[in-house]
Amino acid sequence: MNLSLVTSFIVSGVLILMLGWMTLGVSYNSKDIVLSQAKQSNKMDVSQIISYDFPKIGYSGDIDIDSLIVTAKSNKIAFFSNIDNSADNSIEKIIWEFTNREVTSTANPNDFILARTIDGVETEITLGVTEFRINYYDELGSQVPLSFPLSVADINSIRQIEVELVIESADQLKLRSSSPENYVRTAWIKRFTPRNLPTNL
Amino acid sequence: MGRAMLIIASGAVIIYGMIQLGLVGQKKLVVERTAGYAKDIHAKNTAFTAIQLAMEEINQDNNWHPTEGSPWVNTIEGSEVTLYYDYLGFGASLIEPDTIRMYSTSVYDDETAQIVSTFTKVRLDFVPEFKSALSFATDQFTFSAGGNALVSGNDASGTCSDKPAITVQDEASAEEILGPDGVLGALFGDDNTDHLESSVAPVAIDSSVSYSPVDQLIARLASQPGTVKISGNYKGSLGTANNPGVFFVENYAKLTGGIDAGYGIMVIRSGGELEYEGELSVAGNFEFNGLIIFENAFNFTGRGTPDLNGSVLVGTTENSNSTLRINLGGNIKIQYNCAAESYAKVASASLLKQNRYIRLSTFE
Repeated sequence: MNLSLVTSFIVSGVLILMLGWMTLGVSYNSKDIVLSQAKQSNKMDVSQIISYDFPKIGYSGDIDIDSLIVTAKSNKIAFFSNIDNSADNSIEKIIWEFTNREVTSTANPNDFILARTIDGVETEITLGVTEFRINYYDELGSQVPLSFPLSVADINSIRQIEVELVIESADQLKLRSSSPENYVRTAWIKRFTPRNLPTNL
Repeated sequence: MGRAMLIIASGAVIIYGMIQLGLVGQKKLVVERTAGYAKDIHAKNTAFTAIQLAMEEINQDNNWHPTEGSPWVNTIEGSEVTLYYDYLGFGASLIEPDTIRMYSTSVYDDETAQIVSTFTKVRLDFVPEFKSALSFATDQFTFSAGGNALVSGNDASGTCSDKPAITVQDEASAEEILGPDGVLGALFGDDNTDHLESSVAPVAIDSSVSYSPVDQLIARLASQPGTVKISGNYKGSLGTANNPGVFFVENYAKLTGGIDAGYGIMVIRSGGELEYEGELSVAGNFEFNGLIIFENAFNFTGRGTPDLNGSVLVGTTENSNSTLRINLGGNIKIQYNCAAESYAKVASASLLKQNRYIRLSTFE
């Protein structure tokens, strides 16, 4: 048998196997990237709404409000603000709550509805939020959040609010059917210093 | 055959490289989306920076007022920033706070951020609180009073509570003011209390009375272009109630009769590194309303009826060891008047052109 012919077949065989594995890898990576992009996009959407609302906590234009933050829990915050900077200085009540209502439109059992309510009108955020936690701090840059439940004095002493958000993909990402459960996760953490809280004026 | 396989292998490697490049490109897209968030923060930060810079601009020139139609446009850290502000309210006087609302919009790359902040703007004056009709921020002095001289701490305006006639730093200074009492006072006639009038106390001791911040105020006022230096025979204006001024006497100056009442701050100073020889001589009726400061000397000669309304402060600078000889005689009258405090404050604030901003609210 011609040695060079045998060698050629071995090399081509290895190449074909490599190409096969590479195709699988590329397919997996492509799905990963597509899901990541989708989740990044979802994260950006949610974080933009949060970043719009939280810095405006207590913003009242020219009106004094007695209680700026009325509820401060780990999964829920309710506050007053002239959220749209309306010329008539009307004050709205805004509630952010991570509910225990499951998102039924996805296969992921870990995501729940994040609700944003303005003056009683609720908007459900069903973009795969699996974690949403709010921490409160009474000192700028403090590493130790206030412990729950917060008293009225604690609420009045809040200077910073930290939001932790985790979003997962609706579908699993698997290299093989036998692979363990794997959802694409993306996380976002931001600490806000609402400038209109009396403690920050 | 071998050559053909080499060609196939080479082609496969090239395809593999192209796929990798494609993947890198996709990952780059993901990173770019995240970078948009950083751009938004940068735009916000530069919008806030513009507000800080605008405050500095107003401090430099109180008439600096960009409007919505003609905003201030600037580039800050690569962001295009436009800013203007509106007055929401005006203070009743120069030293009363105005309320302003600033609108700052910053565009960085394709991200836009707008900040709307409302502030009160108060002109700073650094004028020390009027503690009495005559205050001594030094213990280096001797004191005597005679003739019809009168130091009154009873508020002439009738709008504030009365103050002591004289405030000093310590017990020894208080004894120097009061002079010998009892038999000695009767024998030698050195008891000064007849010349002190107050419903509170003829002399009060306040250890917090200090000259150290006042000398800094004087140094700042002296360098301001609007300060008037008086010397020789002066017949010019000494300010008005609506437009009080700051006047420095660093050489001999004589104010002859017929001069209108003065308003604001008058500083008569001697000694110091520039060897001032401030001395003020007034003839005829003379009236000044506001704050009168004597630094390192009490060189004041008043023939006629000098009326000093407001408060008089006597002090020595840190490197001065001269003893101030204060002899109040003739018809001099030093009258506490809390309304005159505003003349001093307005005069100082209008020259210093420094504002303090208190943020009321921010929409971001």
